[in-house]
Amino acid sequence: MNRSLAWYLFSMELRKALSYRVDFWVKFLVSLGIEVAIAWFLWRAVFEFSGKTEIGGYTFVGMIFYSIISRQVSGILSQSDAGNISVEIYQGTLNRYLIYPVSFYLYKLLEYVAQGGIVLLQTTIVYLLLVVWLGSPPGANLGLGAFVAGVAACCVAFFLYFAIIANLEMIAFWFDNVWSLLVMVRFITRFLGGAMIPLTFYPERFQEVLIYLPFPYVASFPIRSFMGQVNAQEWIFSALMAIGWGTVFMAVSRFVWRRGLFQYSGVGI
Amino acid sequence: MWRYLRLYAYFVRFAFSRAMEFRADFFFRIVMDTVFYAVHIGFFKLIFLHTPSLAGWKEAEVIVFVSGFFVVDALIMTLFSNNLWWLPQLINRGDLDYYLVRPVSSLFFVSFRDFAANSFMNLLIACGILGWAIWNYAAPLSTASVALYLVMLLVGAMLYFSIQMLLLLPVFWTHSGEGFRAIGWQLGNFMGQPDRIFTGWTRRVLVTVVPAAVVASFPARLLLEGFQWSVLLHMLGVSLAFWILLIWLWNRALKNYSSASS
Repeated sequence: MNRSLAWYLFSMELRKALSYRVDFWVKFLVSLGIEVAIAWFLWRAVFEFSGKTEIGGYTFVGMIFYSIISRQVSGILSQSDAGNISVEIYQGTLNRYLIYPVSFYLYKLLEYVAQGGIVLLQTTIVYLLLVVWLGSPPGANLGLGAFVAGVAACCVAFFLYFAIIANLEMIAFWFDNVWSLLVMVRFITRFLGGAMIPLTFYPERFQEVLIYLPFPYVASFPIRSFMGQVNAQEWIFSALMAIGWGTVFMAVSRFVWRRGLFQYSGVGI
Repeated sequence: MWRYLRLYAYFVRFAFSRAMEFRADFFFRIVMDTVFYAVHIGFFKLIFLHTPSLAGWKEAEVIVFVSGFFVVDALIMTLFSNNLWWLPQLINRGDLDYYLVRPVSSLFFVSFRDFAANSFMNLLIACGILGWAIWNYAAPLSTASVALYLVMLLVGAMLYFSIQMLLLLPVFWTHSGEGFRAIGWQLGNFMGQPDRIFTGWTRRVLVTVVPAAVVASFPARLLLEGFQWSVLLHMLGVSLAFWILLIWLWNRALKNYSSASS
């Protein structure tokens, strides 16, 4: 796929997102405001009633920072479900990809990255505002290096999450609705990946198991990278784990794709 | 009244027969909501590993509150969610015409037309979790207080629905409901937290202007902290005010409706 097509896809997705500008900004600002308010009051109550100044390695300010970055990372990853592959299957519009001279996977991945890129732009604004508003909370090491590490971790997480979701989307070849499966995986990823609550809040034995599962690499890894909490060695290990899991899921999805095409009638349901 | 009940019975019957045609989806949705319940309980269990209480409630009390929230959520998902989902499309495509010409209240028809049969199973699961939470609650709870709690959860579900509808009605003027819908669902996050974690102006707004924090917390306070007239009247008053506002705004919005492709 050439660069101009990739750019065209990105600009098309941007135009789509901004076609209802009021919606776009209302959704972003109000959602952010509500989630910050909830995180603020919830964690303030937790710290107040526990009588502690630090829980799981996070101070109150650190938790607020974590919660806000977490909602942004979750937004980047789950703004659309792997380019809505299941919708293409249900509507029969998959046909066009079968005759286009482009890789279906690459096309969908680019579409997905483009949508995520828009949220990444918002994240940059939020990150800058946070640094100005909260400074660098204890235990965090904010700065350009952390931001670049966070963006790079997001790219790796993109690939892994896309690979996981693509598998579920393709179940649409056999079943009539996969939306609930996607939402279910989102819940599990948010909880076991550390998006809802940092993984350091889990009992230690649980944490030891979690690092071998794919979930922390789609949430906790990019969030902690943005916060400058991941050293070079851990970053490389996490990136390799994410790429490893992503490759496994991608291989499975290639198999599912080939099998699924035998089921595909092209007329939609 | 009987006419409406009979009509609703038809909606329910039709919803179940349609859900049975998509059995995999029916099953997946049950699993999805069960995971949602497990994640939510797990979240509070993790918090209670690090604090003995939250906003004046111990872990057992928060679990009862969270279970009540599940029941409210399942009620909303079963009775209203599909209808809320389709409303902006009905308005924008002009399909609302078909609802307006029926010889019943258009607000009733739009609000209750689509019963989510698959979520009904989750309502049963949520009730089961609530029963378990109450059963395991250490202090004795009278039958009357449990009965009042259940009624107030139903009132809470109606209140939350009216908030959601009020957020969707601007579609009649703006023609796109995505942003407002997102706000509506985000407000659900306030509903899932004990109301007393909020303080100051935020709390005042969340129990009056946008009373999402009232929905599941106030019924739990009536159950766990003993009967209080102030809590009961506050919740009933706010719910009634929002229903009146909804009916008024619905009638105003219909006057602005210009049928197909409005």
